[in-house]
Amino acid sequence: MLGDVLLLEDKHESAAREIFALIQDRLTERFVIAISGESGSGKSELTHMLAKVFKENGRRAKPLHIDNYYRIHPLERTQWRMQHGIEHVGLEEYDWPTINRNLDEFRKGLRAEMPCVDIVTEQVDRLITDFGEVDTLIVDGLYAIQAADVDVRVFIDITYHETKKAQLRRGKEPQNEYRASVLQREHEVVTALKPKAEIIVDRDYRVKG
Amino acid sequence: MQNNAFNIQKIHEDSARTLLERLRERMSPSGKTLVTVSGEVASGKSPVSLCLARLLKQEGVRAKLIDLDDFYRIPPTERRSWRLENGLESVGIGEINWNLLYKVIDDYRNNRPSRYPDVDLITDKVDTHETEFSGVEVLIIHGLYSLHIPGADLRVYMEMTWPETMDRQRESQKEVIDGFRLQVLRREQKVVLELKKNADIFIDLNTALEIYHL
Repeated sequence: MLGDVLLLEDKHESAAREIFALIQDRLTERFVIAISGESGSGKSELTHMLAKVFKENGRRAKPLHIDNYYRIHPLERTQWRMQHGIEHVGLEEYDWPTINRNLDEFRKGLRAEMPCVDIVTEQVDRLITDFGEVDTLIVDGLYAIQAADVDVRVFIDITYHETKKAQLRRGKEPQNEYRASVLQREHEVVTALKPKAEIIVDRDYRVKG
Repeated sequence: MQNNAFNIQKIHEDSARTLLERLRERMSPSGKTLVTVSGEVASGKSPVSLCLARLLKQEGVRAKLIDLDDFYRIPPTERRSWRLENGLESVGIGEINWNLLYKVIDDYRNNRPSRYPDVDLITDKVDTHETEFSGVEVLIIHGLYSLHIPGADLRVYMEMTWPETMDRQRESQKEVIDGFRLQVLRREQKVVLELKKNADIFIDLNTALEIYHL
């Protein structure tokens, strides 16, 4: 994701350290962590800090943002959603075959090609990386914990109502009635995924394993 | 550049607004405008460049950002030992793969698809980035030595004094500060100052205003 701005706070760092402590003993040669949470819950920030904590501990972690894998181009998404109806907002909007292929390429330590959205130009660029040199993948996104081949699933338990303020401050996207209905629908879909998670980060960023 | 975390403050947005005013008068008739943003380490090049690109987006102008840090010949993990081996004099514009950058600028001007290096600051690895330049109307190249690039329509220099750079570098924690790193920073500052004469607009973040222009 290009042009995204992280709002890093101490709570992201402390939660990252707690998560690392919880999973430290289970790390394998090629380890996958998935972090889900609603819009504005701090997924990208937690992912960034967790990758840095891995780095401090001598591992090489790469963040992978699921928002790069929308099937519908950013410029056409709202129109697509309006045409297909709100019930089509959800898991099917993502290109799961490509997500799973990239995860598989990581597992095998291969060179991989993946989509990379530039938020400023609203174009989908391509990123080519060599997973042979990476030992940890941190996948973050609304529905990241839905991915099949994941070792640890983390859920940030904050609803979009609680993060709305933060989102406005961040100026990430325009706020309107339609956007509100999308957020409500996403809230429902992501809440249904919560039982998959074994680590929960609560609204105060306390970590429960 | 991936995973480069920086904060955007109001001062960066205000500076970008000042730049946008100036840029309006300088847009290339070719439809492919080139902006270069230079300044010392941690002087606000990245956040101001991103703010400028966002302002352009609001006006319906598609702007693409390129970080000069992606164009070092020596990858991040080997740079320190390479510099130690080759001496402080090796630090400077010779470290940048200019031919590759000029190829990318040429791709931009001719609406060709392009590929360039993309450093991940967490893994310290150099990935490859592929993009499509057709439809992009402004290319903003930011980085220490970007004023070395010829043919830019707007050449920006971000003012900042030495002690401030040091404080911000510590804050940004991009690199370990030790004796050699200090010498490198001093040498980089010298090279950047030599290029400063190429700028046509100077921004002082302390006031968020253009302080003078040529």
